[in-house]
Amino acid sequence: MRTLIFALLGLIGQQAMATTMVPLNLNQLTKSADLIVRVTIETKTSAWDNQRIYTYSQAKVTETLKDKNPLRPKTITIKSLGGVVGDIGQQVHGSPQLITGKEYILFLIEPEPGTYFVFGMEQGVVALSKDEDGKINATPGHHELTGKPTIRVNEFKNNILGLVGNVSK
Amino acid sequence: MFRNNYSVHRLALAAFFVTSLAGTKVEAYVCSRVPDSTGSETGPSLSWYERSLGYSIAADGLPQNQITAIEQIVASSFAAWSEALSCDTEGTTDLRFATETCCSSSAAIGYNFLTPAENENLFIYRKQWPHPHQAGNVIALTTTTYNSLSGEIFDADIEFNDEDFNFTLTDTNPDTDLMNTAVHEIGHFLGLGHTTVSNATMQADATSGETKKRDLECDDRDAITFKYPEDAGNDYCELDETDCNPTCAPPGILDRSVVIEVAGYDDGIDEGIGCNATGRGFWLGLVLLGFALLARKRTRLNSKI
Repeated sequence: MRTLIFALLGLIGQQAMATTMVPLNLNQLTKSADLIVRVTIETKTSAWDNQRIYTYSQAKVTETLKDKNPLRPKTITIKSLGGVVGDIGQQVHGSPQLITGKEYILFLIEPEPGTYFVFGMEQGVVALSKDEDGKINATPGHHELTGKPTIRVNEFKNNILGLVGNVSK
Repeated sequence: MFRNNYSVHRLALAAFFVTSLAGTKVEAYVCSRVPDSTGSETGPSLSWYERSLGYSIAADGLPQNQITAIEQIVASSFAAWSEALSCDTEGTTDLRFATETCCSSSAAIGYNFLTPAENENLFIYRKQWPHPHQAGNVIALTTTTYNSLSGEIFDADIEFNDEDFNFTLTDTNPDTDLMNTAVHEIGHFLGLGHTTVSNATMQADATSGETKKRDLECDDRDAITFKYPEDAGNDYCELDETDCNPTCAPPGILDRSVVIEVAGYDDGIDEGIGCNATGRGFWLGLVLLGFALLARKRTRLNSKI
């Protein structure tokens, strides 16, 4: 049944296309990410690089869903386009907006050691939040990822872990 | 209408209403806003204060046999916004666009704060997409540079990913339709975010071969005539008005010098560049170039509102 759902989501992802981004389904995100982690954003700093502003978000890793490196540090820095330096801001539409103090599941790539980007821009960001009953929900940047606006975090993690298992085989 | 003598009390009241309405799902156009220190977009809406805007098409990467056609499509894409009429009233906009250069020798995306006059609002075809972490899934990217005190947009650039996508210009077998993409990106260029309203040009989702975003829908037209109304300042309303869009905040009041910081970042990998492990010296320097800029902005702000 789960396979069928993912297959359907995969078809949706191929037919639909954002003007700025091609939607990625969970299978594509899971396969392409170097690591998938649950994090809390602790601090953020933005800086100019040439004529662009980048934001560097320090994230505390609280759970690892996919990673081949057992020696990964528990605090990583995620680089993203856009930010504010002094009184100048730069916005890049579709770039991940990570908010200090918030918890996320992130699909990350590491193009060079120690430098992490969110894969698929905002599609690789899944925000976590508690509902009225204290249960934690996962809200993906794009509905295509889960087929609905929110999903229980444990269900979402199990979906990822199932796919990670298939990828490993 | 935004007024120059906004009182602190009224701003506080506005903030209260924004907070009160935050949980209400309103399907309407969305203004991009300045983020606060945590990254939440809670500040002033991003807007051009000028109504006559120039743009340039970069020569670099432009298909030589399609230059004229691309120029026309980009001009038509801007015209879609400048000729918009609102749906619910008879509102119009006085936004006007003109090609400064075709084709520009610049390929610089972002903002040169050392020589602001050299910045161009650039359209650029990227034969090699410069953002490897987005390879294959980003069709186009708009980068907007703004004053984070007021929300005034200084510069906007649009990159088209010509490495991974086949941009087509006509109705015959459209693949990634250039005008469909350009009209949407120009919405970002003008300070609009994604809307959830079905069929709107500023809706994020589209289908391959889609061309419907070439023409604005009511939501888009209401957005542009709200943000840039004919012969009037930015049409931000008091948030206690019943028909006010709670996602569009008034521009901020420019009450101090604009500070431009030159900051570097040490990723801790490449030793010898900048900073030590404690973060001491993290900021490489602080350059104040804002006085002239501020004087210019103040004059413009006062004349506009």
